[in-house]
Amino acid sequence: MPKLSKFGSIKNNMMMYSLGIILLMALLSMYSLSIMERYKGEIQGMFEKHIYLSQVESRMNSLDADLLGFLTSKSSTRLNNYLIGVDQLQEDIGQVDEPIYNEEDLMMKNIVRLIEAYLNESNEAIGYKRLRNVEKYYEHYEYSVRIKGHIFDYIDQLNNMQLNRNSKSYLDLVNQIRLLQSITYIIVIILVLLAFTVVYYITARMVRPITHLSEAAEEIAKGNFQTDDVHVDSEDEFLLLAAAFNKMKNSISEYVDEMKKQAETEAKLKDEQLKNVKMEHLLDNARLYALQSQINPHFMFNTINAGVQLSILERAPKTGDFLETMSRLFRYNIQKMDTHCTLEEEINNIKDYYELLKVRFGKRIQFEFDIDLDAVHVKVPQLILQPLVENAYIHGLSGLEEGGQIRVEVHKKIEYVEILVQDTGVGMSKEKLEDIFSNNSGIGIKNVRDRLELFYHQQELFFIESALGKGVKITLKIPLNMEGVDV
Amino acid sequence: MLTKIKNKHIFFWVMGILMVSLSMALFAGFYISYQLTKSSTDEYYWGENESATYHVMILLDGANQAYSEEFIHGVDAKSEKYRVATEIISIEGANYRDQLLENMQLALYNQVDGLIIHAYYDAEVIAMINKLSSEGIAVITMNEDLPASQRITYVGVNRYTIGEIAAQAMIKSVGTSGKIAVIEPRSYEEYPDIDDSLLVLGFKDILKKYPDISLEHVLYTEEGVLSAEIIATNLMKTNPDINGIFCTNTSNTLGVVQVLVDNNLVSQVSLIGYGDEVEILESIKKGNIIEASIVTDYRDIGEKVIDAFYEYKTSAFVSNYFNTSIQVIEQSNVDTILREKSEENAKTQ
Repeated sequence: MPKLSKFGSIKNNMMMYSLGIILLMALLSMYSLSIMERYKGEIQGMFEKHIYLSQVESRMNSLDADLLGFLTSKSSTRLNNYLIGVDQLQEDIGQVDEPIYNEEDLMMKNIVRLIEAYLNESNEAIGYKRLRNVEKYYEHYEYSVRIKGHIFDYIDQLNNMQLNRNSKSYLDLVNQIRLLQSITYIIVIILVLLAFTVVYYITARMVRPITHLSEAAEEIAKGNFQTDDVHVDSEDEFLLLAAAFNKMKNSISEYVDEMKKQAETEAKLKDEQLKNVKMEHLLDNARLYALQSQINPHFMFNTINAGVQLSILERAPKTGDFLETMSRLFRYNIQKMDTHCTLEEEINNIKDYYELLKVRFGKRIQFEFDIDLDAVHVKVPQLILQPLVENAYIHGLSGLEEGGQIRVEVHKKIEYVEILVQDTGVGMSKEKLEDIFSNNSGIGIKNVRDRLELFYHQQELFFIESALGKGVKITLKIPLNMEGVDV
Repeated sequence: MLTKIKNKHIFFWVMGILMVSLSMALFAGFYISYQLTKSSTDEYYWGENESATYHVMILLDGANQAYSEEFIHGVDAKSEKYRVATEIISIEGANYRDQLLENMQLALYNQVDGLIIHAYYDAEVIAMINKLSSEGIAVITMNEDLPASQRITYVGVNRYTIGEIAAQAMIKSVGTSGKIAVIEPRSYEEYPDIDDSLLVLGFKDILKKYPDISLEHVLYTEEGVLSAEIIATNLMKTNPDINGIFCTNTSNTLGVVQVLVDNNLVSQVSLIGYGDEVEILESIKKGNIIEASIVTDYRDIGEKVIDAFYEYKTSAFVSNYFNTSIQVIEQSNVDTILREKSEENAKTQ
């Protein structure tokens, strides 16, 4: 199971991206506030000096009124007001910076100097008033009035100058605000795009593993466990989830494979059992057939043995041989029904059978044997040749006046032993040929074929060829060195 | 896998482009707002951190066309060099004397470092110069030297020399015999006296050498072109034998030109003018209207007054006077002057 990175969890990633978006939005807000602050400063700067000058002008007027009031009435209230006004005015001019950087500074410097001069002259006027020197106080008052005029002239000039500058600044301000508005819109659009891109990326990154997992789950639901493992690049919970999913999928897959193998084994086993049952069934049939047949054969066998003894007593050796052959044939048929035997025994059996037929039909039916002696030791199911020879004799040759030939050949091939049973009888039509294996009426040919297949656990061991008037050719292929076959 | 890598690359590319665009937009925003702050601040004399070293007040006669743009350019050039803040007051109206005195008093109240005035001979003006000097204010005179005052120096043309040059130009035009009139703007001097005028003295001193040439009239105009026209018309009516007129300022020159052209006296009267206005130069170029014009270098005057002030403030010693150059424009050099003027105009535009 992979280890989860300390900073790679979904929670941390989400927090990081959200923080990024919040920071971007905060950046926009700070930007807007900073621009607004600048504008505020600008507008304040545009009117600050104007307000200051208006205040100075207003104080000068009050001061002059109080001065004149004192000079005309010698009122202490007026003087008190005048003195308060002087303090305020001095405080006002104390705020003015001395260095001259521009024309406005120059004007301000002049205003300050003129106010100082005005205060000097007005103080002189008050002093002379107290001394009752009318001529002097009037003279100094006149000076103060003249200075006041100069101050107001400068204030007017300064106000005009500022008005002109502010008018130009205002137009610049309006144009630049318009431009800044456009830039702010662009910034907002960029931020929206940034936020969208980030959100899209996060969502896609989160959804991608889930999509892969759901696709894989869907495939598994369909029963397809052979899908590729889900790969997740991120080092977060999805990695753990994918790893767990892959592990679960692979475990289920292995389990299903195991189940399949088990099912196949069971199926094979059942098949085997079925075959066994079938074989037992066939054997049962054969036994039934045999038992049914044994009624007469046992009676016949005992009778034939009595006949053999009788023929010996009556000195009839040919009859005795005949009966002995018959007796041997019956014994073979009765005793070896459920076991296997060698091909040699089978061949001897049909030779006995031939001997019997020869007595009955003489030379009308002839047997030919072409036996490869190397192949006769092969184990075969019992009674596979006799039914074939019997069929050839009963169905193929017995109806022919001129008789016929039954040829039995045994050849050893590389992988099997080939047995041919061929007659020159009436043969069979194609329909009848097909009917032999579909019709379950007889236990002859079909029985032989089924027993061969069951014995060797193989198909295609039995072949029959025939046509009307062309006899029948039956080929058996007896496999050599069959593993698993108890021979 | 490949698609995933591609997507990742595209994501980082898109993020990169957006971040760069965002940075550029933010930078543009701040830059524009900075420009806004910059444009709306006061216009500095020289730079944001360069304060003035001295404060100089210049009192000019608004009626005198000598103080044209050229003079201001000269003052500005040197003010920038020495970081001198100049406060130029052009005194308009008829009562120049009283206004001059009032503004000199204003300079005292303002505690300026230097005062440059268009001066003329007047006892109160001299007294005020002395008062300002005693308060530590360096006073420089133009127009009139006023050596009797405590001014630190005089900057301007030598008016006697102007008279001499004008007389020579007049003789060159009218020949060795004739009757001459001089038309001057109204003088503010307390006791106007032709004999005391340096300019007329210089003019007369040259004419003395030619006994057949006489200075018949010295006439004074009020402010403006119309005044000169009235005086010239009367002059020509009452003295039809006048064959030479010398005007000592630009407006008088232009006024007399109108009279001569209107009365078909162009070929009869030789006019020596003053100034280098385009109209005057064109009249010289056409021939017979204005024979010659006396020009002083106003820019030079503007530069020298500031030079003199700074020299005085920094070395406590300055020359007693600074003479500026005088030029005579006539047909031989008028084309060059016109070309120079048009080139200069093209440069300033």
